[in-house]
Amino acid sequence: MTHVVSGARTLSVEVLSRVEGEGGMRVIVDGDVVRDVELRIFEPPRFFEAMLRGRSYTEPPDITARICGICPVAYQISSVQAIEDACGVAVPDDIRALRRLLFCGEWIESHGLHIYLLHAPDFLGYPSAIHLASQDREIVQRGLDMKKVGNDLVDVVGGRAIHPINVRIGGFHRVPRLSELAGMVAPLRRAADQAEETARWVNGFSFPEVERDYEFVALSDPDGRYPIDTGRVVSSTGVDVPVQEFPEHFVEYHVARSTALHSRLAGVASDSDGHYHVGPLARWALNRDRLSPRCLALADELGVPAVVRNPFRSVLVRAIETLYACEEALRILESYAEPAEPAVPVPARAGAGHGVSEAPRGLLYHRYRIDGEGTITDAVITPPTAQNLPTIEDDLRAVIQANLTLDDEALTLLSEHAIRNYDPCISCSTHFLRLTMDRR
Amino acid sequence: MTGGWPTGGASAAAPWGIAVLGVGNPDRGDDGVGPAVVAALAGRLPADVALAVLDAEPSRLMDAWFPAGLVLVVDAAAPSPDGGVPSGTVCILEIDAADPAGPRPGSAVAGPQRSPGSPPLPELAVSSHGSGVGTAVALAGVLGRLPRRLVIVAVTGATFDLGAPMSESVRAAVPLAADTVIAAVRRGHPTTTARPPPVSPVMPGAAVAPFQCS
Repeated sequence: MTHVVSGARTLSVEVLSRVEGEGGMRVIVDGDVVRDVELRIFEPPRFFEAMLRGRSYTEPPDITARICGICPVAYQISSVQAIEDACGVAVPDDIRALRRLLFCGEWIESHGLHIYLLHAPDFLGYPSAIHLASQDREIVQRGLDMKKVGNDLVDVVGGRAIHPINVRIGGFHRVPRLSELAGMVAPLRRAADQAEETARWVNGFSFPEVERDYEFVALSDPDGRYPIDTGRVVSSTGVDVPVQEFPEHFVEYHVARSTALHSRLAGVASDSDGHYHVGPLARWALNRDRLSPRCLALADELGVPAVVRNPFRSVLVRAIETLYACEEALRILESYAEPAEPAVPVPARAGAGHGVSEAPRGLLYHRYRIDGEGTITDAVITPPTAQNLPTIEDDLRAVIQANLTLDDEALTLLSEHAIRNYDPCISCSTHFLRLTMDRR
Repeated sequence: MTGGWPTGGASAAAPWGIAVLGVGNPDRGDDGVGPAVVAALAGRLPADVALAVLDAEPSRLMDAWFPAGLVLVVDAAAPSPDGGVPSGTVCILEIDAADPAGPRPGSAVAGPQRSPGSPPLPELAVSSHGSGVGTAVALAGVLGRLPRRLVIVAVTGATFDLGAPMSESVRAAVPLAADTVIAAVRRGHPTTTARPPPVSPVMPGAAVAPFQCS
């Protein structure tokens, strides 16, 4: 709704739709200058870190999977890796491969959901995916079919599609039979083709012009593959550290308007500096050469640059990453042999451990401290959306400043679109996103 | 036990298949009513009725309910803006994919009404979820992926805070909601001899005030 009060204009979108969860944002425009952009989070802080204290070290994969319905696998994998790190256990390669396979399913379903149901309507001028579907049913059905392959992969490896239950520290409760996984091969091949069609489709979108000078932060896979399930933490300005050093290089800070912590690089003068970007664009900028030949050929055909600094083009990188996830799942399936044991023993020992993975929307860090009995004494979870919050504010400032000639409605829609570039999972950082814009 | 259900003559593969889906997050107060009703239904439905807990992600809902013949979705409803609907109120909204006016999104819902020709609403104001059952219904309508009959059993909630327990009024409504599902399944089950009448659009609870959905 729009109000006009004494020459000042206030734009207000009471509920920002098509983001996972809920939150709020206020934009202040003074004449021709964007004075401030504030993400405001209304809901109480997440209770999960507190909930984990006093629980058994075996429980984080099941508890943290409930933080997000869209990326539970990332929470499970980061948590089990952190616990295993604390206990000094490294899982065998076949268990790691199975985790990566499960993760591929999550990437396919999460990216598919975001591209087709949440983000594409912005580019095509539709208020929702329902409107898009009413105009082009086949397109949306293609997206849903592709996404379903991801759901099914998570289901067969993770035990169920929603909040998977098969992940445990040391491995899995049960490893899937070869016969169960064989049925995924043909659907994954179809999904790969659909992902390629998706990339060509989204490449035809009209992208608002904006270029941002991001500090990209992503993982670097130890096996030289595109980062998904683990890796060192690297950045575009030279950070290259093991996950155990994450807290030394990235710090969380509290802002009064938000109950979600924000993140910045350590060692900067103030909270207004050191903002960084996690997610598909960061992975792309720091790991592009590790993609498959098919992905790189597609990127070349579509003219995707080595570093993408237009956040609106993240939808294109997501489509290419979806193709990669399909191919990577097929690669793992082709060499799959049932692990001899579904899990290795992880005896409790006192200490702290760190785990990290690439959720579809960016780097997800977990840290736990446990005592000698295996009781969790401290837990820290740094979700990707919380890390991106300051950068989303910076993006909005730039996008709005460059488009002040737009009327209120168009500018508000563009702002919402800019937020959705990050596929923000406000459920993970906290809840309730609303957008308010004041023009003075 | 199946509470006197007719036995035999039905198989899970029958095209009229019935599914009951509890939607919601047990960690968010009254949002957990869908899973709670599903738990209350364990052992009380015929073996060929699928029973599952889901989140409200639209494509997963559509996958779960298409092409079933009858699907009952149990979900929490957001409190009415004017507070006129007491928490714990159980309401039935029915959508018939074969409705001559349908499958326009929400067109057959005996609930929040939309003016003819208005764009499909992403939410029908019956779900607590940002992108939930309403979106799934609307999208499925457009894509032709509604079950033949879709019945939404909505329980008006009061609190959806993270970590909060279900409110007393909603907890007290769980048996009524479960009985409502059983009655609807009984009417839709093929082993019931007579074709059941349509499910009432209004289901006042014994312990709550009658509530007109519209």
